[in-house]
Amino acid sequence: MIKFRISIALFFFFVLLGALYLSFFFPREAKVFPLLVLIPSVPLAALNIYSEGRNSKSARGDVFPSSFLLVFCGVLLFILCGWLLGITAGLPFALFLYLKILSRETWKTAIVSTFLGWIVLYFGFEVILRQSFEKGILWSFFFLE
Amino acid sequence: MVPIFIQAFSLLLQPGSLLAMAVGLVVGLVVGVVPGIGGPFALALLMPLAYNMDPLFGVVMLVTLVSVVGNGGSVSAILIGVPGTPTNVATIIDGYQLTIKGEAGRALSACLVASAIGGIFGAVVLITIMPVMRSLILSFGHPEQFMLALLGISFIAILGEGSMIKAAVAAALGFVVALTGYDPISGVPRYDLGLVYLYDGIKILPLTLGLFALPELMELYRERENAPPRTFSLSEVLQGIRDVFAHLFLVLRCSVLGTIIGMIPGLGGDTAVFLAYAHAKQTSQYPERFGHGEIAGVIAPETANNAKEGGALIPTLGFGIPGSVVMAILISAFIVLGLQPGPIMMQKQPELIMVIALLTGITNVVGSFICLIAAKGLVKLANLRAKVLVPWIILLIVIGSYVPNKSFADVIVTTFFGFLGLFMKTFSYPRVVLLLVVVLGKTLELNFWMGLQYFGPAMFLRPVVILFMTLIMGTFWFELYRTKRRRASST
Repeated sequence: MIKFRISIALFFFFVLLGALYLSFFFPREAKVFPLLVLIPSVPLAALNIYSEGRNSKSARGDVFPSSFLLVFCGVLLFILCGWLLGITAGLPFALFLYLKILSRETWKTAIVSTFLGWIVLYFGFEVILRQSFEKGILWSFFFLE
Repeated sequence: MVPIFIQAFSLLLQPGSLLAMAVGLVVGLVVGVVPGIGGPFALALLMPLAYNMDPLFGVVMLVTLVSVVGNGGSVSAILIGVPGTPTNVATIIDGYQLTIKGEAGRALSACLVASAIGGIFGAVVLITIMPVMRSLILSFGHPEQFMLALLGISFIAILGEGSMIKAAVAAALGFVVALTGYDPISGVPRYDLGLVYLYDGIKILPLTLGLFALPELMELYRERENAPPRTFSLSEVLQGIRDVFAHLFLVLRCSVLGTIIGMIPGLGGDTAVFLAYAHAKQTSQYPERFGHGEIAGVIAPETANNAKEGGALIPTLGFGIPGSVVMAILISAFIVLGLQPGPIMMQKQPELIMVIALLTGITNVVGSFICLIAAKGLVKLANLRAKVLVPWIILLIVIGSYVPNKSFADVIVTTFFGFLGLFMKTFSYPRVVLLLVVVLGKTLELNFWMGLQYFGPAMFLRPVVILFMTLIMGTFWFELYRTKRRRASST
């Protein structure tokens, strides 16, 4: 994890370096402002790597929250379900899966939350706010819509 | 002036006006609380309804909605760390930290009272400034707008806690994000990586939700085990009100700032709230407390957020020039209602202008009061166990980033910036600097070019520009001096 601190500083350095490199190929009007910003920024990012390297010698290790995986799995689950089943059906389903599998909640909590989620999405967004969400990819695949 | 005031007040007391106000209040607050929707969407939603109404009632409904939507947005920003509207983004930084500390009631009441004062201030300015506003608006050209944006970024970056190098790196990354997409001058796409999605640039809302909401969710699991419960007692409400009056001078300064920025077309509400936040931090005795639950960090942006509405109405009603996206939609709604904002409206229908000004003030107070009453129930929601609350917040984040453009790409952008936000938080890079630069980046570049085109290098010799440059340099040297003194005292 100590190395991670330097990796992040390196990542930022390369992002800025890449942006600086790309800026040289823009037309004159488009490149002046990026160059004005990035030419002094790249050396600063390099200095940041040095500074992080020095700091990490005294650091005991940077620990991510233990919930890191849980939350990102949750987000991916919501994206996947929304994409496959559509927003109105997919997100409440993802809510159910999250509560039942990741949070290990009771059936009652999971079902009630799922139903509430569907009410919010269907009545709140589709009926009252007149939002028309796309159907999920599976819906189109099976029902050829 | 007095007869117009009385006439406007009597128009507002008509049953139809009161009903229209109630509809605008309810829709505005609900839309404000739900992340990702915001004022433009709500206005577009109510426009067909207003079309069939008496023009007065239609105006009352729409102006009420615009005035209170920010109040609703601040409730979700403080309680669950997800901004209801893009202009509530700055409120999350300290508001949500206060909620984590168990001071949700204090944060909410301070925020809502400050909003009400800001709203009233904006309305009073709107009423009084009408005769002299033309020269004021025209005195703020592109060079001044460029320097004002630069000033805001500098204040945040220089005065933030931690390394100035990291702040500079975060600002540079913010510029890369802000400049992604079509260049406003040459029309060439920049940093698009061959992706069509990036031609339009990275949208603020998905980025904000990722940078601020997702990393906080991870903390939510951990802090819930030891955190005090979110409470909302009368003593907390009173404490929040006392906080506002203890920072009354800050409230007044941020009201002025918000109103002036609201007046300048194109600068927008995001600029107002972040400049107010930066100003609060710059003038605070304890700038290191910002970002960790400093009440002034809630009061300042919320005051400016509501004050800017009165300011934005000045060019909208006075010249027919919208001060923001919301105002542009409002003008089109006025035209649909058969009204033409501009000098003719000011001459022929001054009572309508007064109705709008009065509404801006009254609805802010009423909206804040309603939010305070409803907040007690909302705080209970925030006390749900993390295992139940987190998936609901993820659902709101996904919906918030998806709804504005109906694009899953926006949700993926949110996730990407969620990772970035977590890394930045873990390794002490100031996320707020990155966000502020993204918000102001395009404005900076555009005003830089326009300033150069109109004035050449002499744009840097204008008095207000020189004043702003002096302020930036002064802040930089002051911070260096302060750091040196801190080091000397610690050794």
